[in-house]
Amino acid sequence: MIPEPSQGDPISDEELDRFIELRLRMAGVDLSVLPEDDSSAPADRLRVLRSARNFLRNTASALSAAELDPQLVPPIPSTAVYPYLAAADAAGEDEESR
Amino acid sequence: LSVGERGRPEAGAGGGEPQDRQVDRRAFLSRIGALTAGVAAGAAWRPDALHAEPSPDAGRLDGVSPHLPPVHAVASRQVRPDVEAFWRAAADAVRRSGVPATEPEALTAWEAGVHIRAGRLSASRLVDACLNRAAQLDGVLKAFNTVTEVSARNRAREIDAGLAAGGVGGEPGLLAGIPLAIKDNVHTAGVRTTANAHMFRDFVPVEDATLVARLQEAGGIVLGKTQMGPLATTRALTPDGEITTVNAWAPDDPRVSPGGSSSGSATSVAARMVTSSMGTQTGGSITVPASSQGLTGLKPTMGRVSLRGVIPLTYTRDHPGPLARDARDAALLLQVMAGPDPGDPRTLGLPPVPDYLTASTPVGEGSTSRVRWPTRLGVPPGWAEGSDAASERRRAFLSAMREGGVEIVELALPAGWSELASGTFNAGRLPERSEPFLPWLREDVRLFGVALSSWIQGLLLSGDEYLKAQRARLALLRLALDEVFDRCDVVIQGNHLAFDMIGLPLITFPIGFRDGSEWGTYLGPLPDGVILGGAPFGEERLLAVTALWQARTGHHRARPADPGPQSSARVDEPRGRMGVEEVADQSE
Repeated sequence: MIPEPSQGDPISDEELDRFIELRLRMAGVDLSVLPEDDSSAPADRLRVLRSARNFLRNTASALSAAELDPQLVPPIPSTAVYPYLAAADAAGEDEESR
Repeated sequence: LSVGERGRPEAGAGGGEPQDRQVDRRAFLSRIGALTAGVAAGAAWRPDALHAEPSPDAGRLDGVSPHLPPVHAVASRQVRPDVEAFWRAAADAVRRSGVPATEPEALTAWEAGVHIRAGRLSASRLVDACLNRAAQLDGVLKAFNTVTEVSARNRAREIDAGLAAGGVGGEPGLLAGIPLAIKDNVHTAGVRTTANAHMFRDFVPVEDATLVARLQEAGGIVLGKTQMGPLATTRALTPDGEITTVNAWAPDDPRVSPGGSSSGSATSVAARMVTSSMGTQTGGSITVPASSQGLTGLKPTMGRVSLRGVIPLTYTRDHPGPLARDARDAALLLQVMAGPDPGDPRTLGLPPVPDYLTASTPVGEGSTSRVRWPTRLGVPPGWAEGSDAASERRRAFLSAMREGGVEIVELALPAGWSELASGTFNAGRLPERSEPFLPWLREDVRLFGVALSSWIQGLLLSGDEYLKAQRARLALLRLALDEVFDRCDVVIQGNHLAFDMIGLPLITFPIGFRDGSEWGTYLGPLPDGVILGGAPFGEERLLAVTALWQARTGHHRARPADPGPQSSARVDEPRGRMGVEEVADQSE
C-alpha cells in the first residue's frame, strides 16, 4: 500500500531548505527570527529545517507515493459532503410525490 | 446494515442493549467522511474569536447539524440515567467495603458522593483535604499550572449550603462537591488558560468551555488547571521544553514519563490531589497518561463531548474525556460532559446520551460478578502468550473476563490495518493544526517555543497528500466496522493510534504492575494498563467490561506513596528538557 517513493535525482539539503523557506515565505512565515544554531534555544533554524527536511523526505514523499486500495475507500455520498444537495433531493421528491 | 439487525441475542445480565447495537454504521462512516472532508464548518474554536458566542445557525440542540448527517438507526429519544439505582448500588458497595469518610482524598468520586449524600462528608472537607495535599505535594509533582483555591473553597461552601437546604430540586448534582482538575487547554472563565504555550500566557477566557460549565452545573468543583505538553503535543513541558510534571508513581525520576499530553490531569488524580480530572486526546493524551499512572481513562467517540472552548490541536481528532479512578467515576464525568451543544456541530445529530451510570455499575459482587451484556472480546493472536510477568497479567485478565461471561475471540488485524494506522497517514493531522494557528505563525514563530516543528510540517503537505490521508482514515474506519466489529464488540488495542485516527472510543485501566526495571534502576512498581477499543458509541460496553474487571480485582485501588523528604529537596533541580526535533517526533 505504501511503495517506496521514486526519488529520481537526489534532492540536496540546500535545495530542500530553499523549497521550505520559499513555501513558508509564501505563507507569510519567517524562520529567520530564530537563532541559527543554538541547541539550548527552544527552537533554532538549523533544527527546524532539519526536522522539516526529514518530514518531506520520509513522511510526505511516502504519503505522496501511497496507493489506497479503492475497495477500502468508501465513496463519500455527495449529500454528505454537500448537505444542501440532500435538502434539494428531499424537495425534489416532495415535488414528484404531488 | 444497522448493527442491531444482525439478530444476535441481546438480553444480558443487565437487560436491554447498549447503544453500540443501535447505531447505523454506514451513516457513521458517511458522517466521518463529511467531517474529514472539512465540512464541519463553524469549528468550535477560532483564534480570532476566542470569546465568540455560537452562531444561531451553527446547529440546533437535540436536532440534526446542518453540516453533518445524523447517525440514528432508531428514533431519537431522551435517555434518563437511572440515578437512583446508581446511588443505591454505590451506597451498598460503600456499606460492604466499609470505606470511611475519614480520609476524604482517598475516596473515589462515587464513594465521596455516597458519603456527601448521607451527610457524613461535606464538600468543604473534601476540598480542604485535596487542597492540603496539593499544597504539600505539588512542589514536587508539578501537576498544576494554577490552583484555584479561593474559588474552590467558596464553591464548596455554596454546595454545602445547598445540600443542607435539600439540594436544588431536592436532588444534588451528580458531581456535587467533587474536586476536579481541568487540563489547561480548556477555557475556564476568569482563570488563565495557557495550553503551556507562549501565545496564551496571559489568556483569560471570559466564559467556560461547554464541558466545564456542565461539570460545574452538576456540582463539580474546579480545583485548578493542569500542566500539559505545549499545545497538547507531548508530556508536560514548559513552552521552552523544560520537563515539569512527574509520574506520581516515580516522583524522584523525571525520566519516567507521566504520559502526555494530559500529564498534570493524570498526576493530580493519581496523587489524590483531586478526585477526578479531564483531559483531551488527539493521539493518546488520555489513555497514555491514565495507563502510565494506574487510572481509568476514557476517550469517547468523536463528537460525544463538545469541543467548544477547547484550544484545538487537530479539530477532527480532538476528544475530551475523563481521567478517573475507576469505571464508575469515569461514567459520572462522561454522563455530565456528554451531549449536544450548538457550539460544536460534531455533537449534533448523534444518538441520545445513554445511561453510562448503569453501564458502569457492576452486576454482582467480586468473583460472582458478570458482564452486563453478552460481549465478545477480540484478542490479537499471541497477546497473552509467553512466560514473562506481562503475559501472566494478560492471562489473568482474560481468565477473569471468561469467568465473568465474556466470550474471547482471537482476532488478527485485518490486512492493510497496520499500513493505514501508520505514521505516514497519521501525518494528515498536521495541516489541521497549522491552519487555525497561521496568525501566530505569521506574527512570530518563536511563540510556538519547542513545539514549533510540527506546525511548520503542517504547512508543507500538499493538498492531495492531505486528502489521501483523510481517505486513509475512512478506509481504516471501514476495516474497523466491517472486519473488526463484525466479529467482536470490544477489541484489545496495542496502542491508541488507529482509534484516534477514526474517532472510535477507547478505555484504559490497570491490570497490574511492572517492576520499572526498564529505566535501568529499580523504581518500584509502575502501573501496567490495557487498552480496549469500542464500536461507534460503544462507551457503555467499554464501561461495563471495565466494571467487570474492577469488581473482580483491586489494581485500580492501588495508590502511589507520597513523595518523601528526599524528593522535596529536589524541587528546584532541573528535570531535563526536550528539544524541538524530539517534540516533533513525539508530537500527538
